[in-house]
Amino acid sequence: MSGVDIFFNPKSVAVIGASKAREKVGYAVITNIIKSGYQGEIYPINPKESEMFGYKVYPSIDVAPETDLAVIAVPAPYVASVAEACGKKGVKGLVVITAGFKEVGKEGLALEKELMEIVDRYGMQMMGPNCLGYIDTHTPINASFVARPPIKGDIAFFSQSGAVCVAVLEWSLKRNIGYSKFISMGNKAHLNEADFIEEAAKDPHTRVIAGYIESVEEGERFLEIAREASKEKPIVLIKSGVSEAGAKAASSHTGALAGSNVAYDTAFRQAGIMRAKSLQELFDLASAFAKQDAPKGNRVAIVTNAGGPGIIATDSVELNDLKMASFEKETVDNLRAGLPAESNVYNPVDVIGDAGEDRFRYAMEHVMKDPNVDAVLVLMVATAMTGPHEIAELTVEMHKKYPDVSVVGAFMGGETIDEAFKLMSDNNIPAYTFPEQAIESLARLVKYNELRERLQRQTEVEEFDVNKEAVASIFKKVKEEDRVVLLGSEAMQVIEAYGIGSAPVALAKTAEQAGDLADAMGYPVVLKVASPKIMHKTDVGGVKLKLQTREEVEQGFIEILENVHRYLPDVLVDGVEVQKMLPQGREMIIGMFKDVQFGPMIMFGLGGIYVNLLQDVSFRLANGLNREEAMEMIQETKAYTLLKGYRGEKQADIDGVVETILRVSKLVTDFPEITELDINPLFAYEESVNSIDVKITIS
Amino acid sequence: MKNIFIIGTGGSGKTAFGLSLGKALQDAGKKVAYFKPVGSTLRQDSVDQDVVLMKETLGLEADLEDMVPIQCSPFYLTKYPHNKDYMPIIRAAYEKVAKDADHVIIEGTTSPRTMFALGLDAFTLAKEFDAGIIMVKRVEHDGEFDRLMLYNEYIDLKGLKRIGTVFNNIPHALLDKTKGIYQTILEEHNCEVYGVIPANVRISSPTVKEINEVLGGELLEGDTGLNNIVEDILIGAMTLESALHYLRRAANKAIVTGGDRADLLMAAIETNASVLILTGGLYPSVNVLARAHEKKIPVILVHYDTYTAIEKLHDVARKISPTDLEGIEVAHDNFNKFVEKDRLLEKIFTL
Repeated sequence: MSGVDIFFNPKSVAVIGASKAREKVGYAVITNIIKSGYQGEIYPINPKESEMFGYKVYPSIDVAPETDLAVIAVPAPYVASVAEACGKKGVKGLVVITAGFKEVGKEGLALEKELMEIVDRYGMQMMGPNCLGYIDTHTPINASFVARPPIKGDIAFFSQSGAVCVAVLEWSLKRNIGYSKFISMGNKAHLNEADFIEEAAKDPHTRVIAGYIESVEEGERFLEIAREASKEKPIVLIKSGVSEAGAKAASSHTGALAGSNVAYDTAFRQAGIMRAKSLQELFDLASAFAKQDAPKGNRVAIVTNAGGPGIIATDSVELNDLKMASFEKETVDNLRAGLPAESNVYNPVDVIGDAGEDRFRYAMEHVMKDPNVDAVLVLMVATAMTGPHEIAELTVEMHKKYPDVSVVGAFMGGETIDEAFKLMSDNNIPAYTFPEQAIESLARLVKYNELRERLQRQTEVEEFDVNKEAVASIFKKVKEEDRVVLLGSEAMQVIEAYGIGSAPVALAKTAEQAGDLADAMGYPVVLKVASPKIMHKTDVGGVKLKLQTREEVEQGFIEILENVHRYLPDVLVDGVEVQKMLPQGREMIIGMFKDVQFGPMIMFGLGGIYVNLLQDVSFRLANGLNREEAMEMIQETKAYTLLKGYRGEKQADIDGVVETILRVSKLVTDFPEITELDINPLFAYEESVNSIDVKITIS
Repeated sequence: MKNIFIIGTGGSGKTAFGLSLGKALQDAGKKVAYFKPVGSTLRQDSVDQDVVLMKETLGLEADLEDMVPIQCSPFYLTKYPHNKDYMPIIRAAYEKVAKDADHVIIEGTTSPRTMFALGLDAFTLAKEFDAGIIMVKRVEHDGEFDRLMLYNEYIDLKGLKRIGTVFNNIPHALLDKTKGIYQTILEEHNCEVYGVIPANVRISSPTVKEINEVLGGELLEGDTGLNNIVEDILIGAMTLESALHYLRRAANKAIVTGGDRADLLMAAIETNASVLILTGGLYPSVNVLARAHEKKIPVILVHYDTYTAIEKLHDVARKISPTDLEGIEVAHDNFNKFVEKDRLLEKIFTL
């Protein structure tokens, strides 16, 4: 038991700072709790009152009866002492509504830390501070200061922004969207999104988990919990601060470094979380999930009285990776027999603008019976012959009759469709104004099914034979020299120790040494300037290729030093690296960077100098990466086509690439001090792979 | 040899070396004095801070004013008329300082040629006091090495006494070259080399406190972390994603950017910057300050532009202060590890 459930099943609640004055937050909270029909004991706390709204008022929590929960709405400087008193009294959960903590700066941060220390010491659970409170429509309890509570429903919603909470509530009332739990997380000093996802996953009244976040507090715990929770029910989140300017605003607002957008995308996908791009999409999805189970497959049938919108919907099906169902011959024959000649009896089924309820009924009956149909979009435009309300009733009836086929509605029109919408909504059929929205929601439902199946498949991370000690000793030396960037030769040794195909490289301090090394390796060789200060060696004349003789090598050594000095006069180079020149392979890149929230991320794509231009790359979290996912990473890029053999080439060593990805993942998870790693290029040959240039940065 | 003159150029680590040499002599049972005939005060301090360090660390009794009788500045000829002889002033101060001492460590100023016009350059002073000369030199490129060779030659030409050379504060990238090439050439020219001391950021890079003394900024956050060292300076003018790449690759960095770049500032904080320097008088959001406070990273606000800030930062030099026990420890460690102490003392005692 996590202890968070105390908020959703409290036997008693105290409101510290409860007030009779309408303008006070303490007034809104106490009256909301009373009005919510809460069945437990209510203890208003206020030293100046003896009675309010028919309840006995206690001067302080010390003298009140024992209580499970305390909602705190007193000024910030008093919160810590109140929390301390709650701790002593044995209160299990706190809802700290009061603002004036971390969000106001250093002094507030100190108050928040003091408060956290108390919460930890007494083992209490805390929401907030700086929040609106929360609402549980099934308990029921409304321990918040919102103006109008939501209606009962199946969506558990949490938000890092109080303003989003308020706006969403108002909007949901109009749209008839109900909630099981509605939580304003505030500063997330103690309980955060991970806790609420975990709790909502267990909640029998919740069918879908939705949330608005600006940052994730405990990245790895969050992913672990989300991965488990999304096996049970869908999670839809919107994460703001994804653009550059947005990230700036989010950093300034939350005082946290925004993780990279690609890391959020990747992490969410791997945890089975669906990411909404807008608030509209968030609630479209949440309501779709709340109303229906995902379709059993991706084959969609469209029944419409509108030709143009039918084509738009068809486009949308393809664009969203769904399939237009192809009907059994019997279905087509039946449709042709019962519909006017000018109707389209193939998918999309167009029953023509003059269709009445009967024609819709006929078409839907036959389509929904067809075993090749997983979902139906009922797409209608109101006409004189067809009232939206009739079609809505029909849709509800058909859905009851064929419960295995998912149904969504797109009713195009203005005020005339309001009533139809309500009817559909009341009967758990998602309805939209435009067909694209309907299809997108359907696609996400299907996607969720795929995600869930993937999560449920047991996956194992492979173990490799590696030489950890060798890597540790290289890192130790680098740290002793107060460096964070490894020399190319050191980086090459690191990957070698992890069994990754590498092209030996050695550091020369003098031209003569370079010549000796080249003689020993055999020609041709490559020379590369060695300096942690130089990121792009080619740009500063720091690379010489295809050197065939000792003279060329010695000359090249000197030229490199001179070139680098010309471009970067202040950089002291460590020397020049000599490497045996390998035959050209297909150029790949395997990279890694450490995301602030989710830890090491692995990147794969087409390598070489055009990486930044082409951006043909895919990402995964390094943690727990398995062979299947590594293969998918490759398949997601154009590099896959190249590896398979393009225009007559033979297939390259794809398994070798996969294994390299897995070994790099192991390396970066074994050594969390690695903050960046790049193998670029990695040459893929028919029988092997070889790392040509490796960069590693540690912290 | 009673008097030991340490000659070097700014940033060579003369003071740190002198400090350790002084201690070595004390450990050998000698009474040591310290004298800096020509001092320099870069900032607002009234006395050359090197002298304060020596006096306090080596437990010397002489007065500070006697230990550093003349103050140099880039406009010293305005302050000291050229038709006057200053040697008697220096001599008088020296006599007070050197009384009863077995050895006097005399430290030269920023450059050996400083105050040449008044005949107060290091070589002339070394002759005056019949001192044995140790060159303590940081060599970053061959041109610097040429200069070192020239100085050695000049010492011979002037008939001065030469103890030898110590390569100090040498960047890791140049250690091999220094030992393999520079040392070899010196030895071929009969110049003795007593050690090659690698650079140690702990005493070669400035601290945040020193940086702020030069910037003259407003310390928005700095209850702790003022002793953080700054090895690298990054200017934050790029996108967050590119910046992260650079931030990760730099250790002990100062980031210079506007207070409105909350994203970059947070990235700098999360990659453990030594200090945030905000230019243009733009205050950061309270959240950034709170996070910096949490991570003990000082925040300096200046009211001028980034270019000016960078220009000023060029003037920052590292000084070990008497309270910097860790820095003093590092200096002694370096000396003991990388200098042939016995051979050096032997030479001093017998010259």
